[in-house]
Amino acid sequence: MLRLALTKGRIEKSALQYLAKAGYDVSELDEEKKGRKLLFKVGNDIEVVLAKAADVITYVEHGVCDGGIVGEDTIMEANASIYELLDLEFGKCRFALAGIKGKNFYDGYGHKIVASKYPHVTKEYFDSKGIDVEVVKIEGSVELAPILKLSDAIVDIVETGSTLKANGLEVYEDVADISARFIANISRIKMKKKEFDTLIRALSGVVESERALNKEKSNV
Amino acid sequence: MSGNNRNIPSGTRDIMFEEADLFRSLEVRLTELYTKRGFSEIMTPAIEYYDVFETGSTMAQEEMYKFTSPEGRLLVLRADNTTPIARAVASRLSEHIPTKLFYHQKVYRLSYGNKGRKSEISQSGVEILGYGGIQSDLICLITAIETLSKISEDYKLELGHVGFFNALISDCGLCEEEAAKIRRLVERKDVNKILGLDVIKKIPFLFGGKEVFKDAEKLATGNEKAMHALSYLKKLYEILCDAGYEDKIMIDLGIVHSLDYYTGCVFRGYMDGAGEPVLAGGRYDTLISKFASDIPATGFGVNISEIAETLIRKNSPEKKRFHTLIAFDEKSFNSALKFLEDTEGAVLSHIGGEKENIAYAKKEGFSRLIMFEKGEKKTIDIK
Repeated sequence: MLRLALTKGRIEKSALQYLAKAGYDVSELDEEKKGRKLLFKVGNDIEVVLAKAADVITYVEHGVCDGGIVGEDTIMEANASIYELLDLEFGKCRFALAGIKGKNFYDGYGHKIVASKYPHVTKEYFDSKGIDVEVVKIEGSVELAPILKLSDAIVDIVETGSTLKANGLEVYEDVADISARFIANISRIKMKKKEFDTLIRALSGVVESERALNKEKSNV
Repeated sequence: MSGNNRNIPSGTRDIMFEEADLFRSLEVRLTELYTKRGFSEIMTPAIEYYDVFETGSTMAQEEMYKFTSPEGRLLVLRADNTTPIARAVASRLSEHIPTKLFYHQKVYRLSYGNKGRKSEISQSGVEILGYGGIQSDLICLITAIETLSKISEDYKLELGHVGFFNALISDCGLCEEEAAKIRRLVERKDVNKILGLDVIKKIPFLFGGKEVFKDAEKLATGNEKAMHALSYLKKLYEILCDAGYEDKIMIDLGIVHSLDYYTGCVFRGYMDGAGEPVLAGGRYDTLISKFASDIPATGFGVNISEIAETLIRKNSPEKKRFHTLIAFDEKSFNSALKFLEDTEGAVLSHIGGEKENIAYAKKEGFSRLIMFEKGEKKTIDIK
């Protein structure tokens, strides 16, 4: 028996589709049946809990869940010791550095402030470039920070870029690609190797067939 | 006022009753094992100069508790056990090598962000000093297996060798920074972010049983150093299988943590129900030379805190049971002591008065109360 933590919401939906395609019975998690439950059986071999993204990582790091499915954005911010076993290739987007259109972020020698919901990701990114910036944590609508001149730029998740555009902002550069990942506790995977092997093989099969399907679509 | 005077720092805990018994009994079991195998205990100071850890530890300074000595030197609360022991061995024991040491000591690590990580961790462990050959590796591994078997029936010991990854990565012609980045990705088994490097990408998945060696040999073909590391590891694995531990040992060639620290065979121990490895160690032949004394060494540490927590989560340990409570007044202390000596499962009450003792005996689950008053003995059954 494996206990998995799934990120509530969009990732949960895609993850359940993938599990269904891999041959698991996910009917307990149907929207109508779900109710207020937090723990579900998926077939005979898997138990699923639903949690917020950051909590998925906390549960997996402590080993109360054996594995989980969560976005790379949350993994990068959490800096936890876990195994990132599989790129599930859905929920694709990217971290980008963005700011007021037409400005050059790197111009001048002044103190630079970057606003983000992801202070750790932001700090790591600029550390790796050897640039010293001050990071300010913002909880929502990060786009406001440069508009109100709190910050020189933001680091945030960008999908289509339409929110940026609507507010007179633009992407300066990409920071990292993001997608959903299958993660595992570093100890549980060793004690339950067979169960993990079966699940990973099934999921990688789905990832590959989805990839082939998407390729066909784009060719058409 | 605010109630802050009753809090303890995040990551620490008060340990008492059954849980304290469990901690102590784990240490007693391991002490018995290690002394029987000829290890001697070492105790190092809880505080060391920062220079010691800067020289010998791979820990980031952000993780260490620091303060200053009266002379203005930077001090660190013991951040790991092996570094101070290496310091002690280099400065005091270089004439007494080879030797085998064990310890039960706490380590302190700054943890923040309410992630539930501990800042005070009870560790036990052993260090085998003064010989770089296979005998000392085997003794270290068998001691690790015996340690795990004293703790849990359901355990695994997993072996790796840093020479395998080191040899293959140095073939890739990367700069130091790039190689360090790749190492971090391999440690997380995160191959999605490794671009190219098809050989390295396979390393994180070289874990499991003896079938791993076949796949690993394919990767290492043509790389003499990698083959050498692999054949040494295989030899250790086969000797341990012959000794009857095949179902308890596994291989993971993706163990690549602390590569500038370990120099040979590395290993980790797992137990059912634990969220992190409960044992970790390996060969570290260059550490003690950093303290100016060239002594090869191997050893491991055991995370007693994680083990105790896991055991308690699985089945709460039994409270120590006394069935008889002996109460006495000032004139009857001698009779009470005499009775205590002759009675199994009895304990003296440290409170006075019959009513008070009956209430206390009820609350604590004693089955009878023996009252000594003015030299008279009275037995009261407790329901």
